[in-house]
Amino acid sequence: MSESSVARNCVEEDNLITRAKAGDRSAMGELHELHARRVYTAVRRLVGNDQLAEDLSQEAWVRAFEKLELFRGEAAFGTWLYRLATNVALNYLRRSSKRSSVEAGANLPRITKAQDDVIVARHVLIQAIDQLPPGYRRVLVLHDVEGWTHQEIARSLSCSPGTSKSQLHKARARMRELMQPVSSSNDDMRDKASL
Amino acid sequence: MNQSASEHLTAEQISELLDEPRKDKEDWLHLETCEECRAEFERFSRIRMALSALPDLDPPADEWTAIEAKLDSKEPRINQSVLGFGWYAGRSRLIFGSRQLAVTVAVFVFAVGVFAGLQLPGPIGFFAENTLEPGLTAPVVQDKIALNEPTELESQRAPIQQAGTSAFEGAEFEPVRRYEGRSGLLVLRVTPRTAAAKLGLRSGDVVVDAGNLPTRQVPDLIQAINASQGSPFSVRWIRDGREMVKLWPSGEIRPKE
Repeated sequence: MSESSVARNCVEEDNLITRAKAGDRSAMGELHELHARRVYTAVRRLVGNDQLAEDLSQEAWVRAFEKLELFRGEAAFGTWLYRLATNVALNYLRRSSKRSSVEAGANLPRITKAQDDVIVARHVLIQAIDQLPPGYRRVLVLHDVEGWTHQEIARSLSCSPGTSKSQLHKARARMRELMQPVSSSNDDMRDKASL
Repeated sequence: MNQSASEHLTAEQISELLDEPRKDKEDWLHLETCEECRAEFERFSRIRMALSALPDLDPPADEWTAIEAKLDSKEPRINQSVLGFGWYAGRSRLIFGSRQLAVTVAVFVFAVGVFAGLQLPGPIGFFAENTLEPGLTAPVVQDKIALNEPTELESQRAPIQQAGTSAFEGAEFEPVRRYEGRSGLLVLRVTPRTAAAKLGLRSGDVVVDAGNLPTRQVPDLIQAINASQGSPFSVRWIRDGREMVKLWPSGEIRPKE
């Protein structure tokens, strides 16, 4: 995308934000269209559940439109929105006393060498993330998927960077267990190495 | 930590090495001599890379409809402050025992409520905002940080582009190999209302050729566009195991040859 088209898109988005602040529903709809995937993805990865993600994604959008007056344009709108959606999900996880009781590997599709394909592996990877305990999942998602630093995670979760690191290493170890390849009879003849 | 070949690194030690590769660390020395730990390190590394390249997900198709409904359901709450003061007026009669005094108090409180309802600027406006949102929980500290004080780190992270990926014409791609026996460009995300969106690409698609030439890297796409000299050309991709062909840039389905 050229610089001029990026600048044009920014101007269009600013215009949409101004109209949305005035209560223009069609402008809100267009902003939603522009950022819906990013918001939903951020929330979905953190909570590990489709139904919950749908509710929290909607809550994030409603809150964003209600608080739109507070958006002063110091960061990109997408960044502001992403951070707000992430906080909605993290606050939910903080409030929730539920803890996953799923045993490692339960209900997880068997990964075999024959399926060791980047797309299939990705599908299995997502399911493995969903099966992590919430505490592990949020640190793993924020660091390894979303690219946050330990300092940012620590600030957001009110913990120390050391705790964030420790949780991350435990989360990765659990992921590795969940992603343990299972050799099928056919695959025994092949390389056992897999993702 | 002194590791012998028989004492393998733990999963957590291997995870640490992914983030803090210091060659002088003893764990690294172990990794260089232990084939099993090295293989395990490679697996961790692959998982780490795959995590950093996960594509965005599609929200439910009716998400906007649901959001609009929630926005609509919140609007009538503007008048709740007035109803609330009516309730207070009724209660005040019981408290004060005098109808006249109760009416006076009710009118005073009602007037304050009207001020709040009108969202006048200044401190009253602040209370008005809270009055208008009785269904919301009090904003937590984290939200305030996010809303009012974006950090320098936020702005650094805004355009997320993973290592090894490239953006072009509104889509972000990552080269992949061995997808159904072919190389191609995995679509990580598509920006709405761009050429890639018009063509019909979605995240998860794997573009395998453009202008009948294989697309292994993003420059292959650029080359196809340059070679076409403005004429439509076919772009072929795989979605959920099915092959799709459309014409660049219109997104029309390619006529049968």
